[in-house]
Amino acid sequence: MAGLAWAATGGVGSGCSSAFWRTGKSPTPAAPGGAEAPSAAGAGAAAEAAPGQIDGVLAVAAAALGALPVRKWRLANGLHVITAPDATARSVSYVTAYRVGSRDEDAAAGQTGLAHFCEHLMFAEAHGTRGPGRFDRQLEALGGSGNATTSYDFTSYTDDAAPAALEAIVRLEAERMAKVQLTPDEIEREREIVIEERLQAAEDDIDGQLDELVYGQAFRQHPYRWPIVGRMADIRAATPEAVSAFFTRHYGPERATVVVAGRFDEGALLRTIAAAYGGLPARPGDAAAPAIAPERAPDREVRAAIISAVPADRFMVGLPAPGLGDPDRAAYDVLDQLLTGGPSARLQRALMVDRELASSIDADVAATRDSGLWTIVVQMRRGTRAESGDEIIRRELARLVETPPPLPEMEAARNRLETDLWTELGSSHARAELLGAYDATTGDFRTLVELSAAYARVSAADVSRVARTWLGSGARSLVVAHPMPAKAAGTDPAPAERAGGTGGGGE
Amino acid sequence: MGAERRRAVGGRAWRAAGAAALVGLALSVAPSPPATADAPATPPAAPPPSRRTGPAGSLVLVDPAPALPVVHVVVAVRSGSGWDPHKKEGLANLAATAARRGAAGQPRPKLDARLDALGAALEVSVDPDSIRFEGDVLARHLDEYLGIVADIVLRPDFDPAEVNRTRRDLLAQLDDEGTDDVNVGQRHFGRNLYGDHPYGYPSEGTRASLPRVRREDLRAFFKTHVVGGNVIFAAAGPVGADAFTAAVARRFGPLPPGAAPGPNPLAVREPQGPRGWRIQLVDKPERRQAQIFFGQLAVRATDPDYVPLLVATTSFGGQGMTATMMDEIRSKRSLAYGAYMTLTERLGRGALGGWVQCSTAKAVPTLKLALKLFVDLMERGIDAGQLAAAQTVLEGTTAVEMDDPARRLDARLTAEVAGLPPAFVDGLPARVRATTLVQVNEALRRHLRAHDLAITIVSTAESLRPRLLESGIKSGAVDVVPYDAF
Repeated sequence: MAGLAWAATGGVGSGCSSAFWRTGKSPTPAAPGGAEAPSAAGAGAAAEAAPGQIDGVLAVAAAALGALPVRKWRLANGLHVITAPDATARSVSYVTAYRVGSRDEDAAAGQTGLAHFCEHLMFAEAHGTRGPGRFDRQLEALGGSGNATTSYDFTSYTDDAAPAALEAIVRLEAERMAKVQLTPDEIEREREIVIEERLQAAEDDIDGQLDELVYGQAFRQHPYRWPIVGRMADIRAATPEAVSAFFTRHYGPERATVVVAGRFDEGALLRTIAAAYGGLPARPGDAAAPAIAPERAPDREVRAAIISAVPADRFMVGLPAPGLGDPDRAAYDVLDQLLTGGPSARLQRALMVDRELASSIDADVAATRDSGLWTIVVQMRRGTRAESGDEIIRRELARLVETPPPLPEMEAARNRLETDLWTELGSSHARAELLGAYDATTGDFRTLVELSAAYARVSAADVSRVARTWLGSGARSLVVAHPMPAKAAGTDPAPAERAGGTGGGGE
Repeated sequence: MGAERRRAVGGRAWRAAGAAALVGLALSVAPSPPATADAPATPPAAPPPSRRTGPAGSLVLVDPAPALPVVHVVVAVRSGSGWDPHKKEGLANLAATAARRGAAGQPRPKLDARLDALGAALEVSVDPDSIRFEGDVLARHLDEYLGIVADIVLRPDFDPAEVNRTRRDLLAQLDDEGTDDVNVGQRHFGRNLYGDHPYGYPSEGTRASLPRVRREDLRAFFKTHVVGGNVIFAAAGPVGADAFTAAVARRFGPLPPGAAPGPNPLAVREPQGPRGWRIQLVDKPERRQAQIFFGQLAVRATDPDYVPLLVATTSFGGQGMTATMMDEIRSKRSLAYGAYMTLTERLGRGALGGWVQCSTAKAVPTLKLALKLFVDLMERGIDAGQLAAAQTVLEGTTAVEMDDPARRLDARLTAEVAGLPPAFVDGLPARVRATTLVQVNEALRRHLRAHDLAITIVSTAESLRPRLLESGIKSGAVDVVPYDAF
């Protein structure tokens, strides 16, 4: 579902560090006593914050996700905690979302990829016994499994386990937040793995290549122009000092939200968290960091072409899109659904059914903190060219700008978004990750809780207005991958195999 | 729509495809009263899953999950691509996909529009053991959704024009799959391992086989296989067993009676695995990495050695970062980003399949190490510490997998079509815990054939083939095939 992936999201919200508020958006004010005032985004389905505390952990907000309660808490050192208990769950999921991502890197200094590199190293070792994979050994000895992801705007660590392991996981994660040993040996070992990851996700993957190129040429200044995994030269050149400095600057309780979803005793959990994390000091804010100017990109038409191992033209077009907390976001998500959301969506029909020009379409509205991109990837069929597919996209966009969509289409799009929302939230793991992502992005997890109601309020006129506002200029970033020239005869498949593709031939 | 692209970068590893159907531990942690903030009380525990008899003797499975207002629905047929006749591979998939695109006199656009209006998805998936019509729907639309699914399952049109269009779409999708190196590797590895056995062919068919399937084949397939004794209706979500069973009876009343056709070729035909190491280099231009697949035939899911082998597979190449492959290949030597082995849960003989991806320059040492580790596993087995660790990891990952109602339902269906007893899924954690070291190592001794492996590598032959030959592999032992060969 577009916009709900735990893809790139942004870090705002604790109010403890000015670094989180570089875009000119107003921070959520801290209420007396440390509790946040409820945000506008949390209105509607979200309940008002209620005062209260458990062992010094302040309750700051509450809401419901379907039939499930969700509450937000805050420790004195600035650590946020979100709890989503579910007695029907079979497991617990424990997410620690740090409001730091590739946006916080210094590309001019050749330091792209540091946020992701640092994420890898968070699994290296904490206190005590040395050796690769210590964190994993401890977690897996509890029956748990861990993973992590880095985005443009935040970095998230997830532990999943049976409920009995939760208390030990709290202590393990608190220990990791307190200190990670970043030894040169460990950094070198992990560097090779990060290189492998870049090869796999960005260089040997056609959509990874297209994605990098589309973003790279769309943005002029904003950090979204460089890849999250980092440029290969920067990964190779990253020094232990740079990695350590990045960790020290960005990892601390004041910059983190812990989310726990699944089957657990909420009161006991909060007491355990208070004991484990309460003694960690908030780190100094990054007040000296330069502000990141917002950039609605692309602001013109830019295009590029590559040659790749594709059966026919494959292209990605990137269009300006509002960030996750933008008031236009819900209407934009509906717009995306109208064009690409289901089998009868306009682009699916036009490209795949009516004219059989394409074999697949994949679209994604980036879940970024600042304005990002709406990307559409189209795989053309043999014998067709990207130009004909792109022309249809242009035509359908223009139609949406000029004419409000009819009500049945609107109703279908809203229903699809609601179905996708609840489907995405089906497990404790997904709930923890999405709550963490939305909280880190918009500063308030209730942006997620409110989505269903926000979609229901979107009108056809809203969609037209948003189409004009964001897509009316015709600005776009287009990259086409053309197939390689025909192969030499010696490496061609057997004629019989080829013949089968056109309707005959024997095996 | 394909899988959603994710712009975030996963730092650790991809989760390996499910090694098996797993089930959660119901460890009891008493919930506390709501805390001070104003939010709904924690909902009570869900009732247990239920099995009922549906129309025409079909099976109805319901796994209640009351927390969220969406229902995951599956209508499964206990026959899949394992029934595809030789040279008509892809028949089952073409039949099911064509049915989804025209039924009860409604052409594809009308069916799409009806589903879209509900905001519902309905996907068709086919594996060797089953066909599944599967999707998610808002609970308030469930009955209407079942009506659409019933049209598709019971009244497919198989209009000639739509059948031909569907065939063209599936052929184009084969092209599309060639853009993903992992897909390419899996297609070729299956064929390398199973040869001409039905498990050796991709369920979606091949460029050669799809044109041979005729409209009357599709009709005959549905008539034979979509009968009461061969169909399962399943739901997970905020729906009770009584209500779902009644809705199914109402919508699927015309389901023809009849027993599952037999004998299932998968149940009676034994595949022939490779002798020696059968090395296949799938040539794709300009690859910087190699996708390495290696493995052997294993056992049926109903074999008494299945669970001991599952434990051994978890220890060797399971999802944990401390599994032998991940520890030795990634953590200690930084050779690859990920290294896994899975055991498939199948009605017929499943497979032990390893997968490593690494840069081309590291491919030969990585392959050598992976094979050495596998030989070690065969010769030495695992020790008591590894057994305990694997049991603990399996229990934890089981709980996590079974936390998601849709995945839980999928596990129950997979076990069902693999011929396992109804209690298998919920009883698996206990069986894993009760598995002894002797059982695991005896199973390894009986079934591991580390010197008889299928090895498939997707990479650029021009770069990798010389490295393989330099390592001592004879020129004639490496079969180079183009990546879009079938």
